[in-house]
Amino acid sequence: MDILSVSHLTKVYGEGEQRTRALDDVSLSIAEGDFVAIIGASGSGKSTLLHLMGGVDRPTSGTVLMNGQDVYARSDEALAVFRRREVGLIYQFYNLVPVLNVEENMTLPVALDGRVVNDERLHDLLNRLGLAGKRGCLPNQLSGGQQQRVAIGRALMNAPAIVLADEPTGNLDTKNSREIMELLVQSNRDFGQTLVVITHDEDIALMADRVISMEDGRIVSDERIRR
Amino acid sequence: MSVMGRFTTRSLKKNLVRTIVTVLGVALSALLVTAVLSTFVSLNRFLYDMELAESGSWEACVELADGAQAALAQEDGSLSAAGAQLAATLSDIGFCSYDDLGETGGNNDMSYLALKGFNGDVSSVLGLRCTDGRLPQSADEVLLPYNLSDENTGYDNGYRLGATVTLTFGQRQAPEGRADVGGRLNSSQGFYVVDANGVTSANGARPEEMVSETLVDKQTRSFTVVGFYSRWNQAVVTGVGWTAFTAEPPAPGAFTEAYLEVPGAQTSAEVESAATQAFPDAEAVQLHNSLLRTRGVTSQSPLWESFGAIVAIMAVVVIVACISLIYNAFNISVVQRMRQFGLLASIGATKRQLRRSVALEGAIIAGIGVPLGILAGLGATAAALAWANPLFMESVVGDVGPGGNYLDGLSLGLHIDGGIIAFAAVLTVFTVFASLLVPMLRAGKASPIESIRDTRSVRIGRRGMRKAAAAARSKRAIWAPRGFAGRVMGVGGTIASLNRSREKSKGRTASAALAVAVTLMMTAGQLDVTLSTLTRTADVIPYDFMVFSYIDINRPSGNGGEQAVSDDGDAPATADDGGAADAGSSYDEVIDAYGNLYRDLSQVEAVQPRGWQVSYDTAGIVPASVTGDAVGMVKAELPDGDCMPLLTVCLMDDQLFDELCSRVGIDPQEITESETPKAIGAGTTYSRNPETGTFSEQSLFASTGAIRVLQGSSVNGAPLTSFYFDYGDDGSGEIWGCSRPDAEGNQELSPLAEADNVLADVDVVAIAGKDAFFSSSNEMTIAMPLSKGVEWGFGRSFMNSMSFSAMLDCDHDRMMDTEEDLYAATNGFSSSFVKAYPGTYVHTGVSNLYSSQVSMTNLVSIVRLFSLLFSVILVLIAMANVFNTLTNSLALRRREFAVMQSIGMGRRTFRSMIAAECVGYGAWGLVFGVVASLVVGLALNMALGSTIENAAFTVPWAYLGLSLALVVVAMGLSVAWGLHLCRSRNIVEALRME
Repeated sequence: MDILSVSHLTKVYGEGEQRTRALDDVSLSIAEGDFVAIIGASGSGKSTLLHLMGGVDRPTSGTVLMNGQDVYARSDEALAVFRRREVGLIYQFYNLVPVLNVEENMTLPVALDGRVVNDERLHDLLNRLGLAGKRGCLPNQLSGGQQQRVAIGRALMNAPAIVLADEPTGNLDTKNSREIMELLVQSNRDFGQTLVVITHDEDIALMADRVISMEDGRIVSDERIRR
Repeated sequence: MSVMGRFTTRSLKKNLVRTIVTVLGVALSALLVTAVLSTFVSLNRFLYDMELAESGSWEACVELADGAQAALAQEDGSLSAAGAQLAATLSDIGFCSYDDLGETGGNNDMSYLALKGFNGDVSSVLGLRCTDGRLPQSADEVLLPYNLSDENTGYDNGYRLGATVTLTFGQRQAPEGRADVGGRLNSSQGFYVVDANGVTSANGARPEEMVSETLVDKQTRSFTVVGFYSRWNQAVVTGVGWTAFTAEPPAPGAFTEAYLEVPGAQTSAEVESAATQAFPDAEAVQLHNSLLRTRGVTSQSPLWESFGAIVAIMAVVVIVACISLIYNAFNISVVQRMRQFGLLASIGATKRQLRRSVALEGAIIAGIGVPLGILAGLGATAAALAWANPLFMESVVGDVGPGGNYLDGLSLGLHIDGGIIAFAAVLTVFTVFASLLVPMLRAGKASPIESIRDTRSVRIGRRGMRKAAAAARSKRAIWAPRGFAGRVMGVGGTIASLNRSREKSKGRTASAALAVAVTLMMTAGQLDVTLSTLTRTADVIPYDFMVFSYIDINRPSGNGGEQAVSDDGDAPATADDGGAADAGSSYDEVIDAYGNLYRDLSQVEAVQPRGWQVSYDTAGIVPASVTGDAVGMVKAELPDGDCMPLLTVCLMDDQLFDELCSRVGIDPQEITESETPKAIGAGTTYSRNPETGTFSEQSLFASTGAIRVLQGSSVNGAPLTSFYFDYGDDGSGEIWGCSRPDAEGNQELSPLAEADNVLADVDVVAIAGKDAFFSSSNEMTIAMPLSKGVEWGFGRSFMNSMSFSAMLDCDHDRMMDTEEDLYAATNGFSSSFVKAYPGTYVHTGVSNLYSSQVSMTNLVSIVRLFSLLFSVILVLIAMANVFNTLTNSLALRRREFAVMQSIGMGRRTFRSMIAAECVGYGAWGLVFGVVASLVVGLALNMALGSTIENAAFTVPWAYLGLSLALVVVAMGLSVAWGLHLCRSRNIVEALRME
């Protein structure tokens, strides 16, 4: 069953001579529980596609359906609710809130949703992520790997339907990269969460069920390598 | 242009809004400094020109016992050696008795007309100018005071232009045995008087009263009258009266005033030193301080010192405000580009180059903003002065009366002083670079490593870390509402609370900007409140003219006029009872004459009479429970617990008294139909407390009750007619009375407690509040209706200290004509009274209170205009500061906001977070701002308090509210603009930004 369906998605930035077609009539579907890797050169449109799938940006044309519902038919406020409930976003540069400690950063989407934090899930995630001893630390007290774990924890805290990661290991060393990907894959398997990862790393791409290659805003290959 | 230069200029262009705001901030600073300085310089120039026109250009006046010394000092080079120039001399020739000058009217209380010779350009050096005619050019021509002219007196004495007059003059001879005055008296000395205690004094006495001083060596000289003057200044007024001038150099042995100019003197001490060096034998040296002050040579005046202190305080406020504004702008600019600076450092830019880049930015902004501000400042000052000129001329020079034409062509306009403009430019540039210092140093510390790693994470201090760790250890729920904001605004408010508590520096700049804004606005308000108080004070007097008079019976004691207490101790006999009618007017005749004067005044065209009264000073015995606690009230403590204060009795005409009763809220008949004396007491006085130095309302009568009022007092049969308080050696004090001098000049003097006193019981049935028709200084005052007061015998024994005052309104469009008519009516009154009762002396005067009020109101309007302009500029600086700081601090956090939005923060939560943060900044800014403004307000108050009445410190609540409103508006606009900037980039763009 498809959890996400993208149809004729186009994104154009700028106007006149500055006009850039970042995404050009892209259509694809992602099945629930799938681990999809999107690869491509810089400027191929990977991050744009990811942001559009996550409800962070609005497309120039085309639709994004999440569980059959048009993401961009929603108001800005409803789109914010969508982002905090149904999507978990992970960035290359962590993007943590500097004044919040580890557990506050991880639980921020829950708080924004006005719900009570599930302490059991928080402790479970902290333990899985190896952050149990760092709960009260601020981002600038953590290493890059630890910050990315916090970002993963934040993405998973709400148990979203889909986790979208934009080069999550791009800023980390080999050891940390491997550990981070193991965490994501583990989560994908344990919780059945759909995982879409943008990467330049061929090893990471090979961990995925499906690999999509992009070039100049278009999908040039879409290959299922597992299952 | 170097790479760093191009980098800087591109940065300025890219951040155009911030650049424009910063340029405007610098321009406002330059505008304010230029406006303050050029206003001061223009005002000073005007005062200098006016002082020149009024009193001339002399800087020091040296009194010489021998006129030959003046010529000698010039010849032997001692003047030039001292750096001084002899600009003019005035030397005594003699003194004319008014008895020898013919009929001059009954209203002249001068002792003599001094005859002086002048030498030099007295017109420009002494400001001696003619109302009619010209200055004398030879020793047989004379310039006379206008009040002596036939045109003024109406008599035919030959005092008119072109006429030849013969003046009889002599020399003033001090009484024998008075070696302290050296025999001969000169024009600088007052009329020689020996008072009851044998102390010499020279104030307010008349020749016929004193026998001590005489005119000797009388001679005559004929002159042609070539001009008249009518204006008072240093040159024309002597210790004994006005002066007649002829053109004649100082004669050997003649008392001479040498007027000097000391070019190049920088201080008043240098001027004085030059004068004493040139004339080591000078009897006295007087400095022309009012001129020297406008030249910046001296500041010896409390008012001037207060003004200087206020300017200094305001200058500090302005500089601090400007530094705050410019510092914030540059600091934010540098913080925004720290990564750029780090990257530049990583590719080899030195710290010096980075600092110079910021300095270049400052130089470009100053290069645009400073000339712009100076031009705007000059323009604004010129416009403000042009607006204020008519009001200023009316209030400052409008009251000069006849002879005011010497001020023709004088106006308050912009005086452009190159030095001041240069100073304003240097001061503003200094302010810019002082503001740049910290941002420059910060730019030089940019870390290449952090920039290359692109950690992007905001560094939180140790305090923030400790708080974050403590929060994790806490047992309370993670997102339990924090702070007031969290409880009211939910998760947005909680995040705002966390932001404020863990990263204080984030809001510190904004809070500081808001604090400065509140301080500036409230400081402006504090100035305005003080000036408003002045305006209210000016509005207190509710009538246009007061005509006053007193009649001096001028007869030795025991011969009428004042009445001795009868031997049997009964109520004192009156002047009518015997021995008085043949020698002068009686009490009832004086009262009738005043009634007639009031009737005459009431019939002057366009006059609306408001009422009249007579009042006199006496003493009373008042129970302690009735006595108020006014600090300045003088009173003797009596053994039985009562006290004996000096007391003023007002006998009001019946209509005026009825109106007072109405204001007090009693039925007039309670007093007018009473058999025994009843009165209304003046409840309060507004005066300065000598202990605290503040002005306040103080009570004179604490309650109603029975008091005893002195009706008459005598010692050895001589009536005591005036009273004073002697503090005594131990500070306990008692009231003394003294009689008028007899034919030999002897007076009786006695403590009142030891005199034969007649006291009347008076029931004070009501207490009046502050009342313009019934005011008092620090003395207890009672009022009663004239008809009953006369019937009860009040004032009969104090005719010589009794004064008349009439309160009148008039049509304001014929104010000047009415004033002249009132003068004519009072002169007519005094002439006819003197003719009817020879030997009496009538003093009269007309006070144009409306003109004084208009002048005061105009002056206050001008000062308030400048205060308003100052305030507007301060408010603009404050608003620009808040706007710049808040918008930039929000713009700096665009990425942080994008992160929150990307993980699902809705617009409402975002807005509540920003609102909560702003309220937090605002609250701290308000607290610090109010504290700072109270400190500035107190400093201003201390500067004003020594010279301006009503300067008691008050919190300007209205301006506090206005400041709050303006701060809220500024914050609202800033936040709206900041959020607009945040929204103009979408989340993805913001996440990608550096």
